[in-house]
Amino acid sequence: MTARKSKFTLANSLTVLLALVFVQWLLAWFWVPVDEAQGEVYRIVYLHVPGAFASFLSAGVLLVGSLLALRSKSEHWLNLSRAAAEVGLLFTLLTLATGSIWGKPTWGVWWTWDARLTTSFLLALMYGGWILLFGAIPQGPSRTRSCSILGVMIAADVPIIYKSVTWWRTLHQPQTILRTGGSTMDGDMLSVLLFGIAIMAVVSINLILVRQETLSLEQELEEKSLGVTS
Amino acid sequence: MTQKQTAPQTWVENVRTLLTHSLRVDISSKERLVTPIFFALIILMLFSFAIPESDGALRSRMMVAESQLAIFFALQIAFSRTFESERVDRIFDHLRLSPISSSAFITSKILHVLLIGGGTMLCTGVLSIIVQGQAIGQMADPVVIGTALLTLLGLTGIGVLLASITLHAEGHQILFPLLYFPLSVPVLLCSTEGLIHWLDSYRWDSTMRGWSVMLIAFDVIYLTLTILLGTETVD
Amino acid sequence: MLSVQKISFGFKNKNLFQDISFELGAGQLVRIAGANGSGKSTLLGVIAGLISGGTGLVSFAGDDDFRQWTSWIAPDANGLVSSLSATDNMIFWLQIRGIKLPAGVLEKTLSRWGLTGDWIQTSLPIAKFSTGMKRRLALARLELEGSRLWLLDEPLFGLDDGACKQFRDALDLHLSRGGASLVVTHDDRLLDRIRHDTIVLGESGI
Repeated sequence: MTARKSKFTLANSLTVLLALVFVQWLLAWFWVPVDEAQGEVYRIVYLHVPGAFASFLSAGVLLVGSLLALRSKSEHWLNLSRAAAEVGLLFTLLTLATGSIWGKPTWGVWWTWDARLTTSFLLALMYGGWILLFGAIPQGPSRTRSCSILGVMIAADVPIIYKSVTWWRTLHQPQTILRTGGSTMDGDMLSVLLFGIAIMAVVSINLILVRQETLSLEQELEEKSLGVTS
Repeated sequence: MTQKQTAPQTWVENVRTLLTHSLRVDISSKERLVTPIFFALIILMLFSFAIPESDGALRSRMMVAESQLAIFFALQIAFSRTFESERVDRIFDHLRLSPISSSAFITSKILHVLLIGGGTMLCTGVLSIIVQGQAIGQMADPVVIGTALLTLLGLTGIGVLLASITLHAEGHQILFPLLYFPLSVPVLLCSTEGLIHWLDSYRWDSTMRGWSVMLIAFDVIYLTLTILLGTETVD
Repeated sequence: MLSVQKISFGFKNKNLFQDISFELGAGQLVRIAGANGSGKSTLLGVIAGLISGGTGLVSFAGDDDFRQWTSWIAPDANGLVSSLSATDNMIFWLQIRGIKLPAGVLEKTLSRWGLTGDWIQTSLPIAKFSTGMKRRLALARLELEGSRLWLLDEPLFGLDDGACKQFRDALDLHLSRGGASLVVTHDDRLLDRIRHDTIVLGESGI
């Protein structure tokens, strides 16, 4: 009962959060000034950067879920990891898509092996791999263990990949690095962007929790219905 | 039967027994030994088809690419092999009911893969000297060999851990490369960039130091994770 | 030697077995019986620690690693590497337990189990062995390991009458020397002359 109640509240708060996202978009579209160098197209940054931030944040949640699952050996935390992997994949794909759309008019290509694009691409592969591994092992302690270990590995790898790839690209072609650094932005632009990052962070955490509840309920339902038939 | 002596094995004896056994299994089925070498040969051949006449700079890059590819894929064969023998006839369960420490088991697997990988590397080197007339001096360079060994170490760490994770997964042949590829990118990136930089300039400068330090750092991280988490998977 | 208290195991909401308790002391044998699918092998697996997820308490006597003095026979497998010879397989499994046999003992034991001749013992890979021969080899290993506790899951699988009788004698000897055993079997030939307690699964406890 308590589970259902909390899901209801979570879903409600999600509506509020999405309204806030909408407000941020309105600000991004109409209030902040246009970028001198890139023109209107740069406005995609208000979706792109928060999305990227959320995709990294999901890796953090994946780490927490995995460590807790390894400690307690409980499936409850595995559901948190699964939710984090799914939401993480969603936001990583969003980042890739928006990055690609932004890249076409700015760089002239849909895809380049830019540092951050490469990192996101690898992250998407890893989230996808985690979900596939989850599906490939039957439910039980061995799945909890294997998936949690992979979760720790992925989370440990995110900063490593980011660091190595950034360094690789900085050494070779610094001109392709996205120029969204704070120093080149004016105050209004930066505050709307930071607002967007904060909102998206809360939205992603919220989505993860809602998904976790759904997964737990699904599991409970499955157990209940199996209990009836046997 | 009464004269039989029993004394529990120490950790080191555990590792030695398991490693000798793995190697004995390898030798007993010849194709296991031949496949990685055959594989390295094919990669060398493909490269000579693609770039028949190569100049100096291109040649050093080719050598790096060849050896990286050969190691990468030969190791993948080694990983899938190293747990293959336990998969049948419930040997893995028998091992779990034998007095073996799980860290000894993982360590023996790491050493086994390192031996197979090292052997493949050596063969690739020798073959590339024979097949492509590669300069021996270029291959026997301590920096080149050192970087290759560090790459081997890092890839082995990731691979053994992933192989133990996917041991019970359905379709592990497909899952394994899917997970292995993105996770091994940092190691491959550092070693490739470092090697290319070295072969282009032969100068031990800050760039070279940077790549080497990062490569070593990844090796340490991956091997630690493997020993810490790998024992979890086999317990 | 082995004490099992209130262990239960189930999938989802359906319990396979519930609150199984028993003690196994020196010289004793407990048989686990029940229909197909009643959870006999699972019970043995949970006790041995091969299957996790059950509840209850399994304790082995002593402070040392119980695996040092416990041997297991799997129902459908023998734990043998198919590309190696009988001798190579035996040496590995004995070595890992820290057992050093005096010269000739391995050959003699294998011969006693019907695996006679240098060719069969050291040259022929296990892949060429028949089902019964592999089982004989597994039982020879069980005997050589000399463990105090035997966990046996359908040990007679694939054996002919002669080997059955031989194993019954080996089991008898094991018990008379103060060993203990937990046996899953459908075959009455094994235990008809050996004193034992029976746990029937799928009904109410002992």
